Amino acid sequence: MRKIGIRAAKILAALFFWIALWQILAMQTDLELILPAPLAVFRRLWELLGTGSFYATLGASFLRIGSGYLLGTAAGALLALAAWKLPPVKILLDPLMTVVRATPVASFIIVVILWLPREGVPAFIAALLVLPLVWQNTLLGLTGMDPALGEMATVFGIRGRKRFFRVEIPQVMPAFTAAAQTGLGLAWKAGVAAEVLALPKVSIGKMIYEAKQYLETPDLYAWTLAIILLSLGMEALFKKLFGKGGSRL
Amino acid sequence: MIQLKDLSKSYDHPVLKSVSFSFPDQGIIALKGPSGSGKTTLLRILAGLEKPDGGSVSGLAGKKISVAFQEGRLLPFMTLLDNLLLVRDKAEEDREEAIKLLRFFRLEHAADQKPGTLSGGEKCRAALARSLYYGGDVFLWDEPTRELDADNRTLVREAMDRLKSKALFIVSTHDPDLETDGELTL
Repeated sequence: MRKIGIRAAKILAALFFWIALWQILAMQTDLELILPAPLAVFRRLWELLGTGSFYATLGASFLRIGSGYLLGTAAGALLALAAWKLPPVKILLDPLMTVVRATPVASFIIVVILWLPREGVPAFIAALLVLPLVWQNTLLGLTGMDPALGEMATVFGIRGRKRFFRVEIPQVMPAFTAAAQTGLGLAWKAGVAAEVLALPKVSIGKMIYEAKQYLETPDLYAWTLAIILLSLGMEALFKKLFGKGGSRL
Repeated sequence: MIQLKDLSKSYDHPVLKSVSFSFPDQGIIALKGPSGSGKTTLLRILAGLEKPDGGSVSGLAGKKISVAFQEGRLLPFMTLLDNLLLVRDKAEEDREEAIKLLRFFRLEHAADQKPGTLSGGEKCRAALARSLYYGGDVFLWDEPTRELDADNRTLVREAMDRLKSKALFIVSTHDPDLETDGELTL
């Protein structure tokens, strides 16, 4: 308990340092248009928290990006499984995944805007970013399974679903959950970037874009802060649900 | 009766060279020989994990085989008790039996622990408990007493003695105190 208290104090001290630095820089520049003071940003965020549209915007983006994330994660895991079972699938997918990983997100967003209705772009981009990451990690987990445990399962007649769910999947879970956790942050960032460019009707990205257009810098910072807080909250929830490396599964 | 006829197996060098032997249906048969003489390889062939390069094994059809690997091979993400329960289809019904076996091997205190927290000797005993829990007509045990102290070696011998009238134990071992019904020197 004492250790947790010390850790929290250290984090708070570091936060205080950076906010103080931000305040000093804002006072030095004295130009709210470029760098608003932290207090102005927190005040604006507080105001936003009191409006219903804030939650509607947050919810819409969350659903949009979240659905893409889930789709990408599920597809990545299933394709990894297919590639593990059927080597030709791996041969076929390898170059595609390499290209997806190497392509700048901005290029993808622009291309996908041409293909899909604007509402679908952030979900697609989130899925696209998560998919190769989950695919690669899950495949590494599958191919790295301990053959000695496989032999153990064979000699004790553990086959089919029982073998898959109780012997194989738990060995892969740490690699899968590590990728899914990293992917969560990636999907969120790329999804908001896609919203900024695709401008779905109700979205955080649109609010950021408009804040920039109308030079409402505190709004821009407040929305960014909201994204950071939401992202941290989701990561914390993920860790709570799945534990470190999926050890709870 | 399990019979080996001219059994041979090579990796980058010959390991088993024309081995012939007849195992009885019950009792304890020790596999002896220096390290690298092929004891583990023979057990793996009998367990169906390897195919011989030449010769044949007969008499295994219809026999239930239960293995205890030298390194234990317990699933690291499961408790000891779950590692045992896993190897039976209706495990929950036989939970008491699993606990009884853990108690016999002085592992009752560790039933809810994961293998990572156990010593080498405890893992070894857990693997033996799992093999007995799975049950069988033929028990293939690879160096079951290697990491055990004198007290625990006695336990393993006792377990085999209790069952040797009903099943066959083929045991690779260097334990000089193990009373066997025969031995195969490789």
